[in-house]
Amino acid sequence: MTTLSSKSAEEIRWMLDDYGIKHGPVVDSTRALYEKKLREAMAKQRKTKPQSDRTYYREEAELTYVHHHRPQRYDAVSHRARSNYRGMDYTDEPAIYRTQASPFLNVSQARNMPFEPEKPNILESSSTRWVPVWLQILVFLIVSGLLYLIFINMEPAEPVKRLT
Amino acid sequence: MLLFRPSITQINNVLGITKHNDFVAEPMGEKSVMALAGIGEVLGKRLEEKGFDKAYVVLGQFLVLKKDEELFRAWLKDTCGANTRQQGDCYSCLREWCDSFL
Repeated sequence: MTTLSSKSAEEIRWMLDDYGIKHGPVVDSTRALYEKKLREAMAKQRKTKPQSDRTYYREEAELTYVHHHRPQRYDAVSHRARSNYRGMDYTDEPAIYRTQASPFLNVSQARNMPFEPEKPNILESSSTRWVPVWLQILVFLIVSGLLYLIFINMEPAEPVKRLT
Repeated sequence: MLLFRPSITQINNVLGITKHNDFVAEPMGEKSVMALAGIGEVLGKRLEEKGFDKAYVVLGQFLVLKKDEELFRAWLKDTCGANTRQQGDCYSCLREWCDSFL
């Protein structure tokens, strides 16, 4: 969990701009609200990133290789002394340059990369659905059970009701 | 068969029409935070505890959030636990007041 409360107001403003969050000045009375919005945006980014990159190929595969590190980089950089926020972006760039140097090599590496973390992530993301899966199955069983009961009770009546 | 026949006043009270109209009709001056539409006794108390004891202080917060609806709603919800309707009432009340007087 990044220590947002230790960041300067300017850094918070940069982060809000980065996530595309509309905002006003970061003052005492608005700070808590913006920190909360940033946490939500960061959590959302961590959930959607690994899945959405699945269909990408060549160039995007390089990006997934880079972006997979991004969430961890925020944590690492926040502990640095002179927390120049822009420095966070710079730490990502060497990774980009490396992948661009030998695209074909890294494509095979990058392709292997997203598959592994996807499996645990898919399991994680399924646990944050709006309605839990077990509940859906339970409701389905109840409904089908009710329909079955209705069906059973209708059976004897059928041969009687004949329009002759 | 209508056993309960609300008066116009009662309807206006439930819908918050009178409160809204009263607030946006004139400069707010030193009005209490409970004069704001959507803010009743419970929410007003919570706001006062956080230091927002006058309507103009909430106005200040509204302006610092650049009169943005989503931000103001989120702030109001976090600060005093206002529900969607209360958030909306307070927001439109302040926005209309600003349109007239700001």
